[in-house]
Amino acid sequence: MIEVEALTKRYGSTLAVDDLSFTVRPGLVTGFLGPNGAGKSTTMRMVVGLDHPTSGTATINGRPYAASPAPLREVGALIDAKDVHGGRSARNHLRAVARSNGLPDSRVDTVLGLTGLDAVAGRRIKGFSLGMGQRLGIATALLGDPGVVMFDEPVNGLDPEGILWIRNLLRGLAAEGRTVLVSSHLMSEMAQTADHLIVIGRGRLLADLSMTDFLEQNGRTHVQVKSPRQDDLAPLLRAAGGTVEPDHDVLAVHGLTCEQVGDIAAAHGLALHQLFEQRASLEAAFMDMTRDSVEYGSGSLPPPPDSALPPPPDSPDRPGATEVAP
Amino acid sequence: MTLPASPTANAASPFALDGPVHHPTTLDVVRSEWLKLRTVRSTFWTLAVTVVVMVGFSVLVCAAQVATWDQLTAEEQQANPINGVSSALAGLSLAQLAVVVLGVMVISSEYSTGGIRSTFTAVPRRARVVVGKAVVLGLSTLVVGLVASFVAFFVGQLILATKHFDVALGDPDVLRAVLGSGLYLAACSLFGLGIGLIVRNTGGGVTISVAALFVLPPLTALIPGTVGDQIQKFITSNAGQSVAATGSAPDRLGPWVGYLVFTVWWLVLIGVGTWLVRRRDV
Ligand SMILES: Nc1ncnc2c1ncn2[C@@H]1O[C@H](COP(=O)(O)OP(=O)(O)OP(=O)(O)O)[C@@H](O)[C@H]1O
Ligand SMILES: [Mg+2]
Repeated sequence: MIEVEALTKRYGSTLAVDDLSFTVRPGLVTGFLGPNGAGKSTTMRMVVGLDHPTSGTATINGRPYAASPAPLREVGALIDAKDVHGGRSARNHLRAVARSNGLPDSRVDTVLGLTGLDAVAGRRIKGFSLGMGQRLGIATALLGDPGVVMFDEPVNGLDPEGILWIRNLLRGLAAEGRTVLVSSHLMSEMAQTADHLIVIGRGRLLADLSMTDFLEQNGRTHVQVKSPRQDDLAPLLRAAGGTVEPDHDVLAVHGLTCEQVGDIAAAHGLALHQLFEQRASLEAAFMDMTRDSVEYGSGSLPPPPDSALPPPPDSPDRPGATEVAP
Repeated sequence: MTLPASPTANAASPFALDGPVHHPTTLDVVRSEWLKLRTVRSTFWTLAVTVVVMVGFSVLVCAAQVATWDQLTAEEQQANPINGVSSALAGLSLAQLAVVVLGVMVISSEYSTGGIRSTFTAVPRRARVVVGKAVVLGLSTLVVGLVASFVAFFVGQLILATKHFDVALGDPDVLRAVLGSGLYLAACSLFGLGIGLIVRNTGGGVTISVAALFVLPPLTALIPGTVGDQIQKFITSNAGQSVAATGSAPDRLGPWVGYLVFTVWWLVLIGVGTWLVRRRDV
């Protein structure tokens, strides 16, 4: 359990974290979101005692991290994968960290295997790619088999396979009852990983809610269905209580679930060529939420010319849209 | 790169750590710092330079003295008698810079790479890290310093023996001076660590250390009056190196008093450095 209480951090004239309070509970993946400069990394650094709060407290399992009798057994943190001495090999780096907490060297092989780094363990960290460095950071965090895990943008630099792996890792860690806090800029990524959301902007708490609530409030979904007998299907769906709008050669159905649409079609012997749930853009909802607190706005650019075109009819991928498999 | 399967909800954790929870101690940190010290190249290089400088200067100075002795007039010979100990340990004032660089880098390289954040995340009790670093650094430079000093001494005596200027370890003060040379080198590395803790960067730390040990001490001799004499005696390397000198001199503290004064110097620097390191964000 991570508890942050009225946490405030000021760097000179910059108020990086402003009276922030929240609790991260065990057994869940908690997503920590906010635009650039929102104060996510600063908050995480204060949780592990690297930065001292200007006021307020951050505790882990009820006490400041620095008071932990067995730090790495309690918390595994990946703050910045570049925070290592590049002149050492990955294995020696991990051994040094393990020894500092009296963990056996066998742990090093365990986490090297877990993160797929065995083959490069003898190489100097200096030559690592972004993704390899990120995996080493994760390996370091998992050395002590910690009950609390805190990752700052772990998918940064990872390939799609690595991103999927992280997602499963985080879900697995939470399922084992650990406390998992993970920061990200991407709401769509979090929507697939997190159970709970903490959103901050300009150092202040903007939202602290479950992912289900967030999706209910912001993820207006509708069903897209494609059928060679579209004209026969549409009245049946309307009769079942849905609102139906033809959209090129698909029907956009509001008010019915995928299951309902599929059952109605089957009951009437109508073939379906596509059936999926289309979710409103989570990124758009996230940007709405943080609009007033964006530190480094991008100014207003004219829209790229092709954004004026309608989306290709066969593609469920629209700009900014997220597909969720039914 | 292929990744193994992630832990799944129902399987036992693939990386569970069994057994009772070990509460790490300062000794664990010492073991960690020992591994860190011997797995970076700068350690090897600075210690190699220390040995080469000590032995090299002993050979150069002793050989030059032996070679030129006969060309000196009797008055010159009387005015500058050969001191077998100081000739053989002539490299000390340069070798001190190599160990001081190592001392600075033990901490500054962690700040410059960001490795310090890994270190303090694993060991949030920062004073333990300082103790761990000081122990492994002090012991390593002590061992290497002693080896370098004894080798320099014996090689020097071999050369001086050709003209019968050699001294023996059993002669008064000789063993103490050679041991003292190793002790002084160890203390210099801790002096560098203290400066490194305070300034946190290699360039600044090395510059300040060289100024404090190499440039300033000779300049203090220019300060007039009795106050000047005292400053001159107590300043860093003037005090510290008295343990590696033989005979007594009016402008020098006694060997152990001098070493004690230098010990206070580095203890204060490390103390101030530790206080700063604990207060500052990393
Ligand atoms: N060491 C520091 N010194 C001065 N200012 C800092 C420092 N660290 C962070 N800041 C400032 O504090 C604010 C919050 O930064 P922080 O890195 O915590 O944001 P973030 O949410 O992690 O951003 P990002 O998404 O870009 O990683 C920023 O305005 C940043 O410039
Ligand atoms: Mg950040």
